[in-house]
Amino acid sequence: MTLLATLARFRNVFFNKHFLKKTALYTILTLGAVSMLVPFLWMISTSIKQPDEVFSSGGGIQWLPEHFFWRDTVVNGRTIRAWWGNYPDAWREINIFRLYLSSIFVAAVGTFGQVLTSSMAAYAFARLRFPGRDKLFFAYLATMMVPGSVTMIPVFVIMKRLGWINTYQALIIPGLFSAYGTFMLRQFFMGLPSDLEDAAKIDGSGYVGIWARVILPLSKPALATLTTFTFMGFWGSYMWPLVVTITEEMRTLPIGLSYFVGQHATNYTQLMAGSVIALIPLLVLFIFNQRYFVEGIKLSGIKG
Amino acid sequence: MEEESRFTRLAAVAGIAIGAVLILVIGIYLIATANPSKPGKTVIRWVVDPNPIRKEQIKLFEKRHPDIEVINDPGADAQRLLTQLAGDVPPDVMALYDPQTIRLFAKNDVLLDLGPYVRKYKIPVDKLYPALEPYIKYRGKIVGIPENCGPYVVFYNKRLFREAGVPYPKPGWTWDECLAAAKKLTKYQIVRGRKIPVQKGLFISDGDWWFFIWMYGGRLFSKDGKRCLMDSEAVKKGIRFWADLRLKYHVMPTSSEAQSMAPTGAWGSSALLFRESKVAMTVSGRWLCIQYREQKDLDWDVVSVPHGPIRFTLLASKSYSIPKTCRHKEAAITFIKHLLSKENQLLVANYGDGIPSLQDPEISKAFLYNPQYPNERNNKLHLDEMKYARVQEFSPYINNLDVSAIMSVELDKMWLRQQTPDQACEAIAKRINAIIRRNLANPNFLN
Amino acid sequence: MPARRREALAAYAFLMPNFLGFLAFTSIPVVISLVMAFSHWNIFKPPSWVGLENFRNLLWFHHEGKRIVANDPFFWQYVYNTVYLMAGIPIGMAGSLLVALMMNQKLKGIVVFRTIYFLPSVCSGVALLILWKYLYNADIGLINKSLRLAGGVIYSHPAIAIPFTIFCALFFGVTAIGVMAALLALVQWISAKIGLEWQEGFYRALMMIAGAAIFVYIGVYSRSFYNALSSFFFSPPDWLGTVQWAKPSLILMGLWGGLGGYNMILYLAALQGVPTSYYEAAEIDGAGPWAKFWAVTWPMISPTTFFILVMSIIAGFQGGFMTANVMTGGGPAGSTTTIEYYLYQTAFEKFNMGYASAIAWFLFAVILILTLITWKLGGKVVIYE
Repeated sequence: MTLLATLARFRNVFFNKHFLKKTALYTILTLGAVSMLVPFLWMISTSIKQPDEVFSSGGGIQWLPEHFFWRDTVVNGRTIRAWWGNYPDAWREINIFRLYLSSIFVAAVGTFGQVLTSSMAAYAFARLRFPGRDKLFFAYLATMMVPGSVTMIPVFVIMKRLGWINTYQALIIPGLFSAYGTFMLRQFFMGLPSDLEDAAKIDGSGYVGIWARVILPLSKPALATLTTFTFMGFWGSYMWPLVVTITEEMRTLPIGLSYFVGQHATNYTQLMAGSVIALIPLLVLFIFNQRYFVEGIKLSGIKG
Repeated sequence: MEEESRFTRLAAVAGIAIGAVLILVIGIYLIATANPSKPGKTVIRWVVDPNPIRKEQIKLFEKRHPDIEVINDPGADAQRLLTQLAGDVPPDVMALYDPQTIRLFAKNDVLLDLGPYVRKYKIPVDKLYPALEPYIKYRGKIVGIPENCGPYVVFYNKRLFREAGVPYPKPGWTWDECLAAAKKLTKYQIVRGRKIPVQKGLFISDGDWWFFIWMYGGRLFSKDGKRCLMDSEAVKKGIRFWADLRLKYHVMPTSSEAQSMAPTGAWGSSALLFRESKVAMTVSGRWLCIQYREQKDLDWDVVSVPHGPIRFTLLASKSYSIPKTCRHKEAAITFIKHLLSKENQLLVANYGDGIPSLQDPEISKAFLYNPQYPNERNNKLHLDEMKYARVQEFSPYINNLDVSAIMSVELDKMWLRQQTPDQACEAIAKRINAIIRRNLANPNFLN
Repeated sequence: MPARRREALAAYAFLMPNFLGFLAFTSIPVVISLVMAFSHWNIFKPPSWVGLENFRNLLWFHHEGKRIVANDPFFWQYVYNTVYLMAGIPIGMAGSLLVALMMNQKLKGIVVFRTIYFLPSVCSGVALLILWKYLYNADIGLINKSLRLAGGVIYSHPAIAIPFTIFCALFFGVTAIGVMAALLALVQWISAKIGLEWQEGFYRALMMIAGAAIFVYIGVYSRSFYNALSSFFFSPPDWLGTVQWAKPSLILMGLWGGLGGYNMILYLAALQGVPTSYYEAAEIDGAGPWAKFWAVTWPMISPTTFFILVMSIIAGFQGGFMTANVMTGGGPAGSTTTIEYYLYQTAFEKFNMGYASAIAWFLFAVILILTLITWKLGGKVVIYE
């Protein structure tokens, strides 16, 4: 009797539809995750190697460095740097401290500005009616369709006329007004159910109130997403800061990292060490923003 | 509406406030320390590729001229340079890497005519190698000054030569000798029934077609630049030889073989093949010795590029120019003069980046022996090769970038065996001539 | 004040900060570049108006003897490359949606998965390209090594080889039929929009004919199919070194990167915005998971789908520079060079800003038309509350 019961329970647990579905999901996700981890692991692996170990001859990727010393050691007449050595070397080589602060400042201010102005504009496009709304929105869209290379010189000349060359205004302000954020948030706002706004209007709330108290809280995932993307955009922007800065102190991180790519040879180990250092804030931001991704909107107080 | 507890709300607000204050503090710090002004100093901006030797060069200069400060600006990207010049934020000294760019800039009146300054500051431009003229002059005016140059030579791996029992090559050797040596230096192994190359005799970059165009006396363009002569018999003969090196004699690796012998990574560092002793000979200018020196167990030497009926080698260099809109012309020209000084020339040359561009007996003598690298006994070869060095051909009627695009596409097809060398030459000539015709009819295409 | 007026004023107030900056820093340069497209400007001399000449040089043809030859042959090759590389967009979007659906589940540790999947998007682009280049290497790359290994195992015995071949043939057949079905469905849907209605059995008849044709074809050529398949395993192609495989390899690489990247996150955010009450309502109506998806999820995330599609089209036409530069060097015989590279070269290396602007605005026109088509067609599908 008990054997049958145990078997039955076994069957209930493991051949349960729910359990199978979960296992399948986990398996697929894990397989994919392994492949997604590889580039990151390679970056770290490269950053702890010696320069001549980066590309091993004969094929295959050499994942672990040959020597793993905690301090610089001499082996066969050659000095092998400590495994963590590339990090301080890279840090000093391109003065990462200043670049980091610069990038953080530019990205933080720029992201805040973009998200703020975009969410306001997106609300206007999505929910408010005014003459020429759709045409204006299309004009916004249209500007994104022109490749940036040809508009760079006019923007640069504008910067020059304003006297903003080699200043933080030039690094931040043009990036604030991309139509990307407005477009994205408009789409999202339009997909929100309008019941809550109607309720708020009945309660006598003004437009600003609706925007601040209804739309924004409901859009936490979209706002978190836009924040992450905009921050990443500023963080990784290479060409524009390069063009607009002249002195060392004003540069941002991607420009600094490009110093490792020389005309004849590339310093891969320090480049990867620098790149690892550079991607930490992005990861932190992403993980932090995940808390705004909660499954489904819990609309308590509204009858379905 | 989500119910948030008082606590989380407060925590969020506090977090945001702290974050904002931090950003503010960072911002103030950054702006305050942004452009430290140095009283009494002229600051000039030197736009050149990022190279570890630049810091040394600047230190040397600033010691001699304490009233001038030089900023090394490593962003020599075409887009950046052009945008800054267009927007009137010119660099003071800029590096230009090929004669066509120099010509384009000079034609558009962007570059300062250095003639008067050369006379005033007595810059020894007349002592520069005559072969470097395309980098220096445009229509008789001096617009650029190279500090170093690199005639192409063959780097060979002495150990691989010894192991194969091939005597070391001597300067002035021919292609037949080279081919014979390369065949002996090409080795395979059988792995699971497949023949895999372990070592190849020779490596020449796919873009170095000049060696084979000129090999039998051919030319790419006619003297007036209005016709492409790629389909002449002399050029075809040379290209056939080149194709055979890889496709018939297999002494040169195909690109996937090269990748598997020593993964060349993203920026195509073909030097890796030589460093890993996977090829016995490679053709390049002197600058790759910087990389080869890093490989401590690599026993290498240099010899002239093998020749056919005519002896020549390719010459590459870069030139420093001053834009007309430069704000500190005097300081800039002082800097350029310094770059031609004996100390700077030796500094750059000893670092390994080419050879000095000045034909000065004192400099040449000092260049012959570098105490840091006593194994390099053949530095004289580089100086001797300047006798035969030629800069690549340009035509005023077609942009070199179009030429490169056509050549690489058609030659790729040849390497993939989709067409014979003769067909490739004819296709190239046809396409280049078509574009020249178009440009002649419609000069707006050129600039 | 009438409510309408108040609403409009409020709208202007909300728009103002963004719009002013947009005007100054985005629209003025765009207008300038439009003027440049009709001018001849080499950056250092003042521009001169030339009307449509740039466009004629770019897009038009001329006679050479008896033949008609393009004015700018480079351009058309790059257009072909660029459009080809965009073929993966629908698959990429579907893939991102699928992964987003998986990531939206209440699994323990899902945040860890989301972060890991997002890693390639923050990793150095160069690192990714280097790794993929390794992967695709003809001799030592993982893909070809695995193929050879598998080939050795499969073809060691006919007992394994033949069923495997049959399985592959079936797989290809079914995929071909599936693709055909999807295309026919699309055509049917579009013609419905335009007003052409199809006969009831017409679609089914077409499908059956197509299916039968495919299987007959495979049956007749089974021997060469067998040979082709076995040689694929024994001497796998040089993925990045042959003209036929270079672009599909890049497409595959792009698909992988997109699985965990921006599009996936956007879809995830959109999925989060679907109220659970809708799903509950659907369940009460007795809908299964498939029906729930098509009835609730798909319509609710359609604005995001539109966004992703438009942005992908824009990015597709304007991208490919770094890949070509770093990974393939423009590809075997120029087959992986895209318009973006040509644009950069024309503007900054040939100093021909007018011509470059013409290229840019031609791209603009193409993207605009595609977006308009998407907007109009999607009119019924994209649902706004």
